[in-house]
Amino acid sequence: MFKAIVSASTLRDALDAVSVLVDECKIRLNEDGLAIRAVDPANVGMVDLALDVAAFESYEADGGVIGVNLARLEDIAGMANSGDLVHLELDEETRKLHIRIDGLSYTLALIDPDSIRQEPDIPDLDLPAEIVVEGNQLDRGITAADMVSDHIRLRVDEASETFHIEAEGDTDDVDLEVGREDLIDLQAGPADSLFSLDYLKDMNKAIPGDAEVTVELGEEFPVKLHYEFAEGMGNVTFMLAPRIQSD
Amino acid sequence: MYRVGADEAGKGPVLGPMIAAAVRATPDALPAGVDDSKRLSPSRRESLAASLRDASGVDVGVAVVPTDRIDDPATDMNSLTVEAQARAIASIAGRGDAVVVDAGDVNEARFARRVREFVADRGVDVGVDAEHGADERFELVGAASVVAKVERDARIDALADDYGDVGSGYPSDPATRKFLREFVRETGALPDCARTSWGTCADLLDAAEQSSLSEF
Repeated sequence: MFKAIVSASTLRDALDAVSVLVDECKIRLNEDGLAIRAVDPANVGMVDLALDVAAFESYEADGGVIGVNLARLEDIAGMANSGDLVHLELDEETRKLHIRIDGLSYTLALIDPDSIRQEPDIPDLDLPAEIVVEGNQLDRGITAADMVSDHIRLRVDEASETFHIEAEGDTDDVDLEVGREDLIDLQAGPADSLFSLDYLKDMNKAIPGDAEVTVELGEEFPVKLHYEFAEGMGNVTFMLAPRIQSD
Repeated sequence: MYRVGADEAGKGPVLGPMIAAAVRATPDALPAGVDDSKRLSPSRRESLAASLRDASGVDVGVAVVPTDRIDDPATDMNSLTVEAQARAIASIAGRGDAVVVDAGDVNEARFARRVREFVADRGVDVGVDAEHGADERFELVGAASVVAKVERDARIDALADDYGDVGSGYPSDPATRKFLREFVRETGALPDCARTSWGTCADLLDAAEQSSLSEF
């Protein structure tokens, strides 16, 4: 069984983080909250999301799994004003999710979870550098990099203790240097990896500008981006595989 | 009175050269059964191409545009099509021949003018008409389309000796995409027979430089 009431903005923040990578996902209706883990079809980007029971106005669940079409669910959540509450209730018999928003009811047909791509194992990585930066700073670097290239380099200069967001285009280059004073925290270590901007741009879209983003980075290793939403009751970890650097 | 038809094959594929062919004949010299190459089976095309080359009173000219010219940033497919058809025509045409070509440009008149000028530069003055779908309406252009297609297919078949199955060479062909993907995966580069300037190739190289989370 599953029955919950949650604010529309919290629901939207959660769905946005997953829909940047996949069209369908499994949602685990655990007793202590919702959990979603998904990887994109190319196995390049991964999301691991948890929304604690405390993020809900009310929450009852007993460990079931449902499969949802994310675009459909986002459309419905988009019908609500941000202060609205969204009522969710699973009909076990018909395998449909009843959604109510301020007089509007919507019955969402669910997808057989077995037909959705398996939830990925999360690679166990010990990444040497950790940068805590405001979402806005990250957004600034990504926007600038996007002007010149399809790829973005994330790098830590251990000597000067700076975090660099760089891009090399055919003609133009971009380098955003963020020093310790503009970072929330920095644990310097050998870190220099190249990533696809297509993926990072999509992930960045889901990250709130005022969020504290923890960036875990290594040398030619996947990057982990971790942030909280729903006033700390929800958390998201994105993981993105690096580009292979030929030269 | 001699007339000439010209057409090309292999404009869109991601593998192999583009081939243009021209056929020059008097109206009654063409073998029976000539039609647009797209309406004939491969074996029928091959026998027709052979009888066109053997027939007395019929001349066949072929021009090849290799992949490195197609990839040259200084060229474009419209100009290469003009040039290839014109080279094939110039190799067999006589002064004053009436030439009909399959228009490789949205603007038929512009294409006809460019072909005429190019042939004239090679020392042969001919009249040129260009029409879309000329390979369906004019036997000589249909004959040229058959010759071009057979030559192009032979060259793609020959690639199999070096590379194994490469498919038809069209980006939509799963066998072609599989060949390119595996070649790039194994060697990190594209084969010489690929048109590297095609989007399909850029996408493949791009994908090959992206690692997967399962590698970590």
